[in-house]
Amino acid sequence: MYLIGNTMKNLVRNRGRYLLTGAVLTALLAAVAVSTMLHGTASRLIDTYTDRFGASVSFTTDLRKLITLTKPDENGQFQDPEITSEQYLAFSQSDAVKNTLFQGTRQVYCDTLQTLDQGNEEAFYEAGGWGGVFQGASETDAPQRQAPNAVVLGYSDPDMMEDFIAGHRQLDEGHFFSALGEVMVSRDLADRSGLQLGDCFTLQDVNHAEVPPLTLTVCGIYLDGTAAQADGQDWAVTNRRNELLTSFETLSQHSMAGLWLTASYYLKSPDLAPDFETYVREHGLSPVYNVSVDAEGYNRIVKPVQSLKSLSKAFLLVILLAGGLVLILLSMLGVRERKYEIGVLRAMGMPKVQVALGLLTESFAVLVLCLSIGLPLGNLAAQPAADAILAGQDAGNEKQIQSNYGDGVVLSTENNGEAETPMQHVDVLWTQGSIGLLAAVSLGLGLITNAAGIWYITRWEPMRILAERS
Amino acid sequence: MAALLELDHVSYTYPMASAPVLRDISMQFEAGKVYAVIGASGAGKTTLLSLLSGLEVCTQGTISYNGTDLRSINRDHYRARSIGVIFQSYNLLLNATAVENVLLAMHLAGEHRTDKQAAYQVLESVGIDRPTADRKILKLSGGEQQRTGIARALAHNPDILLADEPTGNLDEANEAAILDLLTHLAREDGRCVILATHSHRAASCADEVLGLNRGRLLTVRQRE
Repeated sequence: MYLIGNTMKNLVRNRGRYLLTGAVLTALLAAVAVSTMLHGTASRLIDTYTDRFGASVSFTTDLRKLITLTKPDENGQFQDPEITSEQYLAFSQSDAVKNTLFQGTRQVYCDTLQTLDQGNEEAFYEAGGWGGVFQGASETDAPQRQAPNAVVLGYSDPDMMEDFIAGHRQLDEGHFFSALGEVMVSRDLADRSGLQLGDCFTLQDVNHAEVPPLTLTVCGIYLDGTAAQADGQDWAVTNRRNELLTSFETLSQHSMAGLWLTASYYLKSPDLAPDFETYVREHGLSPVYNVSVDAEGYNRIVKPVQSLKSLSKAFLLVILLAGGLVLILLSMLGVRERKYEIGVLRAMGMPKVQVALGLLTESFAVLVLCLSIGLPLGNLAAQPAADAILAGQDAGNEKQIQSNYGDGVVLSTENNGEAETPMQHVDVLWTQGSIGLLAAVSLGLGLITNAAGIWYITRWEPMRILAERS
Repeated sequence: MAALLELDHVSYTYPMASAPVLRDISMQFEAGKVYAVIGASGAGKTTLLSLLSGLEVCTQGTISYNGTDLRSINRDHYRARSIGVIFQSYNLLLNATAVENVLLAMHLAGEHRTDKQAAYQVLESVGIDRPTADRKILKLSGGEQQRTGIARALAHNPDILLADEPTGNLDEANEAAILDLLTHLAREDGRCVILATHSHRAASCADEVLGLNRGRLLTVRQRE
């Protein structure tokens, strides 16, 4: 109690000096608070981003290898080597892969559905379009092939359905598919075909007769605001209202035969790209393809935050060095001015430890007071500082992305929609890390500055201090 | 009577100095007596008091308090509890009040009676009234500061009082009062009072006058 009471008295007695030190310390702690908050927030975001989007992998065609290693078709066109569905599935088994997003597609015919634009394709061929031969089928196959009246799409993650995330599609009735065999249909298709929740229909793959019929149950009906025919065709198979949305599991468990597959791979870390490449080569990926981490996308997303982190770190170091130096000087000057007082205390028999403890208690009280002012100040300043830094980074990034454009054909970049959105704003918040860092910095600053002053004063014997004073 | 303080062939040389300032001093100081150490300026009077108060350590010989070598005891503890020092330049805490200076001495001595009333009583015993006791040291006159210094030295009831020119800055009336007080503390309260002084008047009050000359301490006069 005496120590605390005496500390308070000493603070009042030496208020001029402590006001100066306190002002510097408050500014310093506010700056430290800003930089630790930015640093902590950026670290957290980087962890989150790398965890979610960190290492998207692409297979891009190397044109030079394509020309060197393959032969053109009869039209003189070089075709990309096929990556089979089995290969796509095998690649996902690599230890380097954190998760894989699959999308399976089949062109189907269902005789119980009356789909939009149904019959247009048949009419086109009957009118002699493309020589009366279905695209992609041989002349001999053509007579057996039924024109598709719908497309069934299977997603391994519902978040892959970007139109729902973007708001172009919206569930109107029922629920998203979850169980095997569940399917969602558009309101237009449901109305046209008289479908209701719980109704079943059976699909037949029009391109692969060996695939057994697939029966699906309507679990949801969605409103569709997308363009029905985006590429100028008016066939049922190209009409987006006829898309039947189900899980990838439903399609793959039914049959992998003839399933048109795309896959997006996300590595546990960008550093694992070489391991992944070795794995996919072993599993038959053509040397025509380059395996590359989506550095552009990664940079677009993570780089602004990394810059924020780097800047905050540099800022913190500068602040600590400059501020620490100022504080040490102030502390030594302060203690020097109190030499006489300390000499008197020592001459009266106050042990060095008690003198040091008294000085430390005073400094600690000042530190607490400065923290209580500096932290809210830092809290206020952190958000505008982060926004300003990110705004600068965003402009720089745009330039860099433009200069990087056109590096190759990306075969597999089915990212979540949000992964393509660059970071323009972060909510700067206190994190456990930043609080810990700030506490450590505060204590460190307090200790370092006081240690210098205390060391300076306690190495003198009391008579020497008093003699110097005289 | 047994010696409270005993010097046995004590010498002291300042760091970096070639010659000792005190040479081979042997002396005993007893309770109930006033000792006056006289000598020219620079003779080593203040140095001798610094050694006796444990602020400095002799470079040769031993100083014992109640038979124990000062080197073997905690000198902070010794200064805080066993002796009271009255400095020539007072050496009070300037930003504190007179009563706070006294309270601090009580606290350092481990006194439980660190209430203000006790501190006021000590100050009153040296002629400082309450309003004066509540004033900052810088607002006190030289005589009041000297009295406060004495009160602080007495606050923890020490066996030995060391006073360096205790009346050097005082007028005649104050000098007489302070000397009366010190002799009273020795003869009535049984303390050992050691004065370093230039003042003949102070020396005349002493039971034993010691002269410092060229670092050596000699007995000049002893009261019968």
